[in-house]
Amino acid sequence: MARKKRRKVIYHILTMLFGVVMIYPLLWMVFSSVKESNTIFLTATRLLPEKATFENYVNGWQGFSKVSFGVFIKNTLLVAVIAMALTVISSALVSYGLARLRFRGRNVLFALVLLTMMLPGEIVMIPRYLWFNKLNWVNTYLPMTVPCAFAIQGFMVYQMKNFIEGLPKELTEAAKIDGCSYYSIFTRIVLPLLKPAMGTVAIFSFINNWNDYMSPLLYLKSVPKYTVSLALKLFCDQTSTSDYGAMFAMASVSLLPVILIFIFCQRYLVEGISTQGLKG
Amino acid sequence: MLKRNSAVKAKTNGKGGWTGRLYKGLMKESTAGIVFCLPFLLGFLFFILIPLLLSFYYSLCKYNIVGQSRFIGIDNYINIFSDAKFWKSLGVTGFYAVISVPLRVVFALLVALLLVRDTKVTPIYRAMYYLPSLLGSSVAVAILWKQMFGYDGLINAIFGFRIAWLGETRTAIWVLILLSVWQFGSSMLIFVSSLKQIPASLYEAARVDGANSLQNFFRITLPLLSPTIFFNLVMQSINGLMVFASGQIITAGKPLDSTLFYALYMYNQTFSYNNAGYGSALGWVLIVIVALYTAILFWTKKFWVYEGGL
Amino acid sequence: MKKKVLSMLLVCVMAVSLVACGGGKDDNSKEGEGNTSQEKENPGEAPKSEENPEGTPEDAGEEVLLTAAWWGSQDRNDRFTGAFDAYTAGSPNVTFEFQINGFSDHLTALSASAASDTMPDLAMLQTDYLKTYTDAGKLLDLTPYIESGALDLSKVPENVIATGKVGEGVYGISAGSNAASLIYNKTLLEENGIEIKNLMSYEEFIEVCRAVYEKTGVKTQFDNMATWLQFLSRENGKPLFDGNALGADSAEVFLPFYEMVETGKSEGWLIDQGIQTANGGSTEEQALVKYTSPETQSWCSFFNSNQMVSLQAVAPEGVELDLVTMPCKDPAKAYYIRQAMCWTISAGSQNIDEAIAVLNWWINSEDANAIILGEPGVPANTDISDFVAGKLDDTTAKTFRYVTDVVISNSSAGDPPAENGASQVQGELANQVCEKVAYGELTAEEAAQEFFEQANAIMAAGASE
Repeated sequence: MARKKRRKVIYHILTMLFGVVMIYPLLWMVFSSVKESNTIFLTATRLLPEKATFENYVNGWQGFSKVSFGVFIKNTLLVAVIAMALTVISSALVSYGLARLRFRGRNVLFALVLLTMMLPGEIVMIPRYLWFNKLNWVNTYLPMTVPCAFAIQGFMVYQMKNFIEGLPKELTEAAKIDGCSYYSIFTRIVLPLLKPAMGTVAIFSFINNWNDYMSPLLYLKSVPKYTVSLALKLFCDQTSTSDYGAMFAMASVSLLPVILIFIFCQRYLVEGISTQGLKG
Repeated sequence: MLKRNSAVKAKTNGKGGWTGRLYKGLMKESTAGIVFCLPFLLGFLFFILIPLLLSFYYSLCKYNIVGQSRFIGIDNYINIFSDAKFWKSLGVTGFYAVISVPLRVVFALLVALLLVRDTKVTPIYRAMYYLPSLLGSSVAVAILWKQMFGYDGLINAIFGFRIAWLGETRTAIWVLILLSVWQFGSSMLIFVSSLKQIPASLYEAARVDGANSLQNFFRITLPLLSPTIFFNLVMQSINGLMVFASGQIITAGKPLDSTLFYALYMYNQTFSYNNAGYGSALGWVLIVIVALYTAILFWTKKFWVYEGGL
Repeated sequence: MKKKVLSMLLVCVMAVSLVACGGGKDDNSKEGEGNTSQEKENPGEAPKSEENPEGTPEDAGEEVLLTAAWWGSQDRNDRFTGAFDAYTAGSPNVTFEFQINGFSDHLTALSASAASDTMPDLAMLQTDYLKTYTDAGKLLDLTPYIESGALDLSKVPENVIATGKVGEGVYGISAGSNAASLIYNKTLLEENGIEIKNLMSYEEFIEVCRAVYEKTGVKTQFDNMATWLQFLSRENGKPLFDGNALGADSAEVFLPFYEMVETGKSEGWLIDQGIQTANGGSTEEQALVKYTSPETQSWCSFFNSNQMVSLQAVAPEGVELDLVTMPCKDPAKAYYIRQAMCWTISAGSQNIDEAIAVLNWWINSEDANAIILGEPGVPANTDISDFVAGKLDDTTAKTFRYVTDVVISNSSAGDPPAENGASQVQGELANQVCEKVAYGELTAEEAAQEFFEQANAIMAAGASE
C-alpha cells in the first residue's frame, strides 16, 4: 500500500513538474509584462518582478497612429463572434445531412469535405482575393465572415458528423415513424443533442479567427479596421526594442480571451473531442 | 397519422398544385439531404473550386499580380525543377515534417497515458498540457518564442548557452520544431479519449495471464490505439507539410533559407517577387505532394493498423 | 402537422439568415466607411479620370476621403498622421484613412491592392518598384498636373524630379533626399580616442574596426549590402543594373567587399552573423543600438542618412550617434543622392484632384513640413528644406548637413530606374551572399562569383516578363 502511495506521489510530482514546464513560457511572458521594461531581460531567470507595474499596459493600450488597442480588440471580437456563429450553424446543417440522410452524391460530398481539410490555404489565397475584390469586399470584414456561412472548414463538419453518428439512431427513427419531417427531426431532436459538439466547434472557430493573421493582412487596409494579430505584428515591428514591456503586455492581452474561454469551456473542449468516433 | 397526411395533401392541393409538389419534394429524404448540404455545396463551389481553377489557370501564366496575366503554357512547371530554392524549401519542409510529426505524436501518446487516469486534479493537468496548443500560431506566441530563444533570451539565461538560436543555420529549424512539439495538445486529447474506450476487462484478463504492464502496452493498448495513431499521423503530417505561419512570423525563412518552408516560399514568390503564376504552380505541386503522401500513408495502413474492433 | 411546417420554416429562416447576415454586414461596413468605399472601389471608371486630368470642378463642401499608405517606424507614423490631420484641419471636407505596415507587409498589401485595382490614393513607394507599377498602369502620370500648375514643382530641382520618372512620365515625387551613410556610436569612439572621418578608404575603415575591437571588444556589423556592391560597380564606371543584367562585367568588381567581410570574420571584429540575423531587419533592432555585451554590440551600422533619426531615438541613454560616408575608393563616382522613397498617386483614384492638392501641400507647405521635419530626408523643395533646416533637432540637423555639406559635393547622378528583379537582387540575394561569407560557407571569391551569376540570372528571368 505504501508503495502504491509513493508511486502516486511520484506520478503527481512528475506530471505537475512537466506541466509547469509546458506553461512556463506563457507565465514568463505574463510576468514579464508587469516588470519594468528595461529590467525584463536582466531578470529573465526570475519569474516574479521586484516591483509590479502596469505601466506597460498603459503604454501598450495606446496602440498606434491614434487608434487604441481597444478598437483592435473590438474589431476582432466582432469578426470572431460572427464567424463563429455562422460556422456553427452551417456546419450543423451540413453534418446532419451527411451523417443521417441518404441521397445521391453523399459520399462524393463527404470526400469533398475531407479534401478541404487537406488543401493548403495559401494556394487559394490569391484567386480568392481577386474574387472577393470583384465583389467589393476588400477592406471589409466580409472575406473573413461570409465563407463561414458555407461550412467550408472541413474539420468542423467532420467533427460534428462524427458526433451525430455517435448518437443513438433509435431517437431519430422513432421521430420519423411519428411523422416528423427531416427538418423538424433536426431542429427538435438533433440540434439539442448536438450542443456539446457545437460548443467545441464554436470554440475552435473562435480561436482560429481570433488568431488569424493572413486574411486580415490581405483584406484589411486601414488601421482603424485592423484586428488584434495584425496590430500586434505592426506594433512589434515598430516598437520591438524601444518597449519590450508594452509588447509583452499587448501580447498577453491578445491571449487573454483565448485563455478565458479555455478556462470556462474546458469541459466542452475535452468532451467534444473525446466523443468523436475515429473512423478515419 | 395517414389520415392527417392526406388531409394536408388535400388542403395544399386545393390551394395550388405547385406548392404541394414543392412541399412533398422537400419532404423526401433525398431532397432534404441536398437541402441540408446546400451551404457546403455553394461554399465549395464559390470559395474553393472556383479559386482552385483560377489558380490552376494562373499556374500556366506569367502573372506578376500587379499587372495582367499572360498565358505561357507549362513553363512554370518546367522551371520549378531547376529551381534550387524549390528543392531547398522542399528539403526544409520534409525535414521539419519528418522530425516534428513523429515527435509530436509520440509525445501526445505518452502524455495521454499519463493523463488517462482520473484523479481530482487531472482536469488541471489536462489544461496545462493543452493550453499551448490552443494558442496555435498566433502572433503573440511567435513574439514569445522569438524572445525566449534570443541571444539574451530566457533559454540562454537559464542554461547558460551563448547562442543566437534563431540566427544559426543549424539551430533555427529546431526552434520551430520545438514549437510544433510544444503544441501536441489536440492529438493528446484524441488519444486520451481513445484510451478511455479500451475496456478494462481486457487488462484484467491479461493480468490473470500474468502479463506485466509493458506487455500490456504493446499487446493491448498499442494495437487498439493504432487507428487513432493513424488518424493523428495523417492529420499532423498534412499540417506539417503545409506549415507556414511559424516560418513567416518568427524567422521569415532565415537564416540563409534554413527555415524556408515550402508554403512560405510559395508566398514569397507570389507577393515578394511578384511571380503569382509561378507561386500558383508551386501550390499545385504541393497539392500533388500532399496527395501522394497521404495515399502512401493509407497504403501502409493495412500493415500496421488494427481494424478488428474490440 | 403545424409543427412540421413550422420547423421547416425555421430551417429556411436559418438558411436565409445565413445569406442575409452577409448582406446585412455589407451595409454596416459600408456605412462605417462613410460614402467613400464606393467611390474608391470602383476601378471600372478609373481610365476616364486619367483622360481628363482637370477632372470635374469640385464643390468645397463635398466630403472626400483619401487613403494614404506608407511603411515605417512609429516616429514616422506620428509625424505623417500629424501632417495629414493638419491638412484636414485646413480643409475639413477632406479626411484620411491610413494604411500602415512594416516594409515587407506594405509591399504585400500594396501589390494585393494593385491586383484588385484598389490602390490607396496616395502611396509611398520605393523607386525600385516604380517601373513594375507603371508598366502595369497602376500609377498616375503627374506630368499634366505639373504643367497645369496644380502640382507646383517650381522649387524642386530638375534632378530630383528625374528620380520619379519612368520613360517620359513623372510617376513619383521624392519624399525626401538622403544618402547612404556609416552611422556610428560617437560616444564609444570618443571615449576610446578613436578617430573617424568622412571619405575613408576600405583600409582606413578596417583600421578603425580593428582599433575598436582591440580596445573595447565591440564588433562591426555590415548592412545595406546592395549599396556596397553598387558603389563598387559605380566606381568601375557602371551602374549596378544595366537593363536586364548587372552593369559590372565580371565578378572581380565585387570582390573587395567580400574580402573585407572575410577579413573581419578571420580577425574576429565582424559581429557573429547568428546574432545579426536573430536581431532581424528593422532599423531599431540593430546591434548599434540594441546590445547587452561587447559581443552583441556593433560600433557602426550602414543605413540611409535619414534613418539615423529613428536609430538615435531608440539608442541607449547617453549614447550619441553621428554619421560619415561609407568607405569607398572614389566617392565622387560612387556616391549619389538617394530619392529612394517617393509619393505616388493611384491611376484609379476617384479623387485625383484632391490627391494632387494634398501632394502639392505636402511638398510646398511650411505647415506640413513643420510637422514632418525632414523625417524621410531633406525635402525636395529647396525653399522648404531651408525652412525646415532652421527648425530641426540636433540629430536631424546632422543628417541634413551630411547630405547638403558632404555628399552633394562628392557625388554623381544616380543609376537609371531598375528593371524587374532588381528588388529581389538588392533585398535578398545581396544579403544572403554576404551572410554566407559571414557564416563561413563561402570564400570571398566564391561569394563574388555567386552574386554575379545569380543576380544576372534573376535579372534575365525578370526580363522575360
